[in-house]
Amino acid sequence: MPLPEPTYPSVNLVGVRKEFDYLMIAIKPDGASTVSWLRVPLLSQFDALTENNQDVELSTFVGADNTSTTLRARLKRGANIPIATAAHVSDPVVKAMLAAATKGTPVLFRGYYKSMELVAQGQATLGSRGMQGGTEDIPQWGFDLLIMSYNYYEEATGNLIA
Amino acid sequence: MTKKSTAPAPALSDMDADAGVDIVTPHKDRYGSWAVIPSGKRVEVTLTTQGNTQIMVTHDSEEEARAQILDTLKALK
Repeated sequence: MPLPEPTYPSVNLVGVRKEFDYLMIAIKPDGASTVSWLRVPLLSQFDALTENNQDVELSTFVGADNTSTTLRARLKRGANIPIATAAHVSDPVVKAMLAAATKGTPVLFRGYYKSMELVAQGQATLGSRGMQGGTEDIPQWGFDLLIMSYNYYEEATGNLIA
Repeated sequence: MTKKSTAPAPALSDMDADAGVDIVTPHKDRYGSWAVIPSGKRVEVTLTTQGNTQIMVTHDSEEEARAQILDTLKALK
């Protein structure tokens, strides 16, 4: 009896991942505004960008027919991305990130979410979560990218997703 | 009698000497591997050092981008 012919999947996300998600940051140099991107030496943790939105609402008057309309708005309150880097402080990028977190130096970020085929980029500061792990763990240093403003772009075309 | 060589002694370039950071291996060719990708009217230059630090700059001029990358490399201590 002939077997039914299988069909190829139509989505392009099921293939072998040739490139992983990664993060680049630019730390504002003293007295300058040039942008030099540094690739962050990530360990496994590069979490998704979590939007901190707040919903507000205002109930309007009740009409004669006893119905009411509620005005609703969503306020953008920045976002954050938790990351963890290789903790060895001989790595110059980790050292620069720690210094930026301590001093509160502004940073720019560009998160390449290859899995989503998009890039999130914007302005942020770095917050340190400190060392993580015990004597038998592979050491890592936790950071939070505290995002002030951000936009999404299609990676292939560079178009803003508005 | 051996003939004295007139070739100049090899010297580190000024930038090698100035860099002074351990992620740079001065005797290796130009700090590591460079990648230059045209991006519209601009150019995207990436340096990956021997120590696996990656710096990327987008600029109008490739030379200016390379200079900015080396400045950033020196600032990383």
